[in-house]
Amino acid sequence: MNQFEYELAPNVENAVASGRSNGAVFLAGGTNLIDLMKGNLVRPTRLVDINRLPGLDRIEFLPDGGVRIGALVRNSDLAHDPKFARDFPAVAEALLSGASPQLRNAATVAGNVMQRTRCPYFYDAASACNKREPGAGCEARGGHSRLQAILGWSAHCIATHPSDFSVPLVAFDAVVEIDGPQGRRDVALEDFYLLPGNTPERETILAPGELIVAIRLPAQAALFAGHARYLKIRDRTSYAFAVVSAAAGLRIEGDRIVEARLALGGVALKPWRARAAEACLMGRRAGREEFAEASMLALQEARPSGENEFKIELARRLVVRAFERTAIDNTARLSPLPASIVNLTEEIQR
Amino acid sequence: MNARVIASGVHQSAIHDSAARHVQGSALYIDDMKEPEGLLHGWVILSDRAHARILMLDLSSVEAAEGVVCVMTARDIPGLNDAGPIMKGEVLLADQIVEHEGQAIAIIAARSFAQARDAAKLVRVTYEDLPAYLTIEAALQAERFVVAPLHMQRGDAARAIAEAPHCLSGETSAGGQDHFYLETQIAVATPQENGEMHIFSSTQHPTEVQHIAARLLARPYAAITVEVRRMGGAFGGKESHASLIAGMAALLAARCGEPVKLRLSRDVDMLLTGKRHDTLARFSVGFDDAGRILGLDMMIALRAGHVADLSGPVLTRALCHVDNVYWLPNVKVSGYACKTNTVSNTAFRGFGGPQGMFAIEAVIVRIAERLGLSSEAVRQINHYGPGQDTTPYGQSIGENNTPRLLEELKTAADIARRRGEIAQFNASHPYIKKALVTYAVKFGISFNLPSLNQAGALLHVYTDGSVHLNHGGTEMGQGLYVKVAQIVASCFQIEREHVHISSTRTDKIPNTSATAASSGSDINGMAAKAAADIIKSRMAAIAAAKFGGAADDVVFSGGYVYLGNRSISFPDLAQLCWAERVSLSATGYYRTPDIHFDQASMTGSPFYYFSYGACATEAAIDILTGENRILRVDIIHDTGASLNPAVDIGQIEGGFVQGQGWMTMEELVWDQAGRLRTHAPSTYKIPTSRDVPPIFNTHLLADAPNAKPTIFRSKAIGEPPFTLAISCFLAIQEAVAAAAGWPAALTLCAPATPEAILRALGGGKEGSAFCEQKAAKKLF
Repeated sequence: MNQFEYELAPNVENAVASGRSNGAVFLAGGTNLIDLMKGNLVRPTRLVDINRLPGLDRIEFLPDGGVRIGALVRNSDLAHDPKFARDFPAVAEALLSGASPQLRNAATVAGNVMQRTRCPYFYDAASACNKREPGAGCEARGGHSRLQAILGWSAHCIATHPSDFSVPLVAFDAVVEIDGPQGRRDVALEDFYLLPGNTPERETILAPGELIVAIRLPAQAALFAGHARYLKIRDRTSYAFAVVSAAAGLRIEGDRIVEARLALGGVALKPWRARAAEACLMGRRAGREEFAEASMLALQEARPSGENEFKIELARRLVVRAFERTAIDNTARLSPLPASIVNLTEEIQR
Repeated sequence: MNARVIASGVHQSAIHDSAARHVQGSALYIDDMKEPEGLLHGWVILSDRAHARILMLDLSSVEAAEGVVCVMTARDIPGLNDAGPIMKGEVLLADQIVEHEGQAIAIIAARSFAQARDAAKLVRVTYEDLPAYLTIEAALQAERFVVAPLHMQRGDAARAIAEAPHCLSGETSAGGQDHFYLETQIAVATPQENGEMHIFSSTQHPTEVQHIAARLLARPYAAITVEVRRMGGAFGGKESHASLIAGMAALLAARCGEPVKLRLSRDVDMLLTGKRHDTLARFSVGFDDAGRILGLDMMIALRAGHVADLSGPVLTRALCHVDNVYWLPNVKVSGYACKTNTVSNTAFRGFGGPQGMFAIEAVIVRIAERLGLSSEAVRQINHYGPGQDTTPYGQSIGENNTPRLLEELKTAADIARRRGEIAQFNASHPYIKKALVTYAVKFGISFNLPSLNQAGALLHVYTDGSVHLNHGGTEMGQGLYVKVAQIVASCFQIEREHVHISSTRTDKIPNTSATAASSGSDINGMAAKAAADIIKSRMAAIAAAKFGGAADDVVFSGGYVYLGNRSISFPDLAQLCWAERVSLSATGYYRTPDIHFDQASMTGSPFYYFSYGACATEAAIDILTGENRILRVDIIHDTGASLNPAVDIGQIEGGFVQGQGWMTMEELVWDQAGRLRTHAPSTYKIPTSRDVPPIFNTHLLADAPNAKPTIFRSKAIGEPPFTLAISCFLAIQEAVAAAAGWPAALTLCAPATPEAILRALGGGKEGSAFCEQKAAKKLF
């Protein structure tokens, strides 16, 4: 690990001021950053510890029915907050499907959103990676690519974003509150992430010194509480990143869908909002055929970035499954294995 | 006489000797030990080509890097550049030619770990690529083998197949497996005076580390002392390959005159050290209407990697386990250890046995499919039985516990009722399919090579009655130390807290075998008992003299020593022995009796006895996503009169879940250039706690002491339960059959990952017909 300065920021103003300097990064839960530093994959010269920033560890339920989640709220605390889990079940489900209990206890919500990709070539210092070293090349291309992107990738980077949490956030129009040298601004999470294009080293719209202070879910998101799920396909039962995942929400009146939400994880360098799929379900019946049509639209731009063509069909099947579950489920309760597909307890009850 | 017996001897569920310290973090692994002053950190420079000639190796920038103290290549080795455990000429450091990606070409010592690692990146190598053979198939075609092919034969297989009412040919394969011990390979070598060297090595085989370090340093064995208190897992990965790491540390330490620690990162560990051999099996089988195998001709090919290492013995054990619990009247099995330009594969729990046992199950299910029978019926009809109880290599199987295990399993696992429920579930559920299989295993206990079946122990009784215990077995978390301590406690009839366990050292017990082949407690326990018996007889003589009686009538019981109605406490008798000038220290030695094996004809009785087990495994698959879950497992395992039921159940559960990983999720992927693409947990998935079957019932076969006079009539436990997990694959395969029919299910190969399951549901990319056609080309 390189030498670095460490600074404990007393307040947001100081944090932002220190965060502007070259080579500075913010330290929250540290569950991703410290690993990257140990592997010598990122080499910050200054760590600005924001864990003591006052007021950022609160979950505030807003009068209009939305919620404002402080940047330092720990993943576990949010997922297990009874009101939050009731109003935003797919988000809670996504949180609990990620990492392990120990990591969720330490990791913050803003840190979750800021996770770096888990592309093995990004993590392997011996491999060329345009994210780590712009212009070096991308060894993931032509490599072991089953976990790589099928949407929005470029010749320079085919990595995916690893966050589960961000997927329902994007589906339900979460907004990121940012404080920075130029003052405060709100940005939709969907626009917060950048696709790789020619500059895969740029991952978010954050400018130097800018700090996430909160994440908001609008009141509208809570309207899906009765019909919202996050499903995740992974290589083993737990403690694995998604091969593909889907956050789905439906508002159903009578036998008609009045609004649908869909975002996919594990398919692109950002959670992939599938608006065409959402639109096609408006006013339709909540049936398998309709969902199958939506799934085709959701993946219509998908193309393999390597030997991962199977993910396209897998994602389609997952979309159908997620909507089917969403249509019948009331996820006021969480299953013992959140987001698991093969959850036999759940299956046997069907 | 007081009938008290001790409460902490054999057959008790004693806690692991280090359990509390494991939890508290005070059980010291090598990297936890306080670092000596001046300690240097080693690192390895690896080849990034699968097969190439080194045209130029420029280490000048490495040597000039900050903190670097020395850099060594093959040329700098004072002794022989040879780390081969059996065969000669298996180089430690590549010299001119590299034969796999990840092969060591130079080693570095630097002031810090980071400096060593960073300096390694400054190497400049120019290669001339040579043709690389990466797969079993490529090596088979080129007939590249690391040892001569093996042939085992009984009866006339070809004729039996030709004359059988039915015959078929087939093919199956199973992937490799990384050991993924939590503690990666590590050694600390410290130079001593007079050219001697002390090495802490995380090794299952201290004697071999000693020999190889001596060979590399051109020193006599007696100049090298190897010590290991415990390993953080080993599973066979630290049997021969620990010598590579310890050898490198010793070379650097000798060169620098300072202690050197070499600890591999996970990535380097996975690149540099070997794994379980992946397997390709092809066969022709002749059988009758009931599914009885009349003749079997099978070819088993293992991917050995770039050198032989232990591949010969691994292949022998694979061939010796093709029969599993099945009677094969006419059989020919040929084995090939294929030389490939991938890292040399090595020992791994089961040591080829699982590969052979996996192969025969492909035969079973194909017969069932052809005859329209259940696979269970075909298994059943082929089981060993009276008059049909000799293995293909000519050993009688002795006591056959399979029928009893399967009978008890029926009730324990409630099989009949659950089969009905599963059939109902499958008929009604649109995309989840379940299956339940019962499966029995038989595993041969002893090293296949008779000479390895020997062990030594050293005991000191001190005058306060405390006992110092040392033996040649190593502790890798499996509970060997506590078992041997229980044995000593039982022999002396003193509570186990008085028996002090000490680290395994080559200067205490010389010329040991690896702690491997499940033999740890069998042979080291016997050696410790032998030592205890020697000391007891001396103590008994003193007691007899004191009380006036015959030494034969002296009884050790409950902390006291009795003769008639007189008694003396164990510590008091120890003190008395000292006063009478009687030695209270002894070495014990044991050699396993009655075993022999002729490698040329592949016949004999290599195993002292067989261990048995049976399980019922229920799996579910999602036919749309390919995901699978092992829902319930019931195991009944034969541990004889278990030395420590709690430790044995732990071994059964752990072994099973490790096997579950091999069969369902662990997948090693090499790219077309021969580079391993899965060398970290990000891409290589081992089971986690959530993959443990939610219902997991493990029972030990009751009232089944070993018919052979093993240590307290117990049976070995390390490897046999691993093989039970083959049932995970079989259950998933049956679930695929329930969804898509048997022809599709037969295309499934191991590991049964979600993608493999989806492929099989689609009939396989190649299809079973293609497999059979390929098999017809054959290499029988």
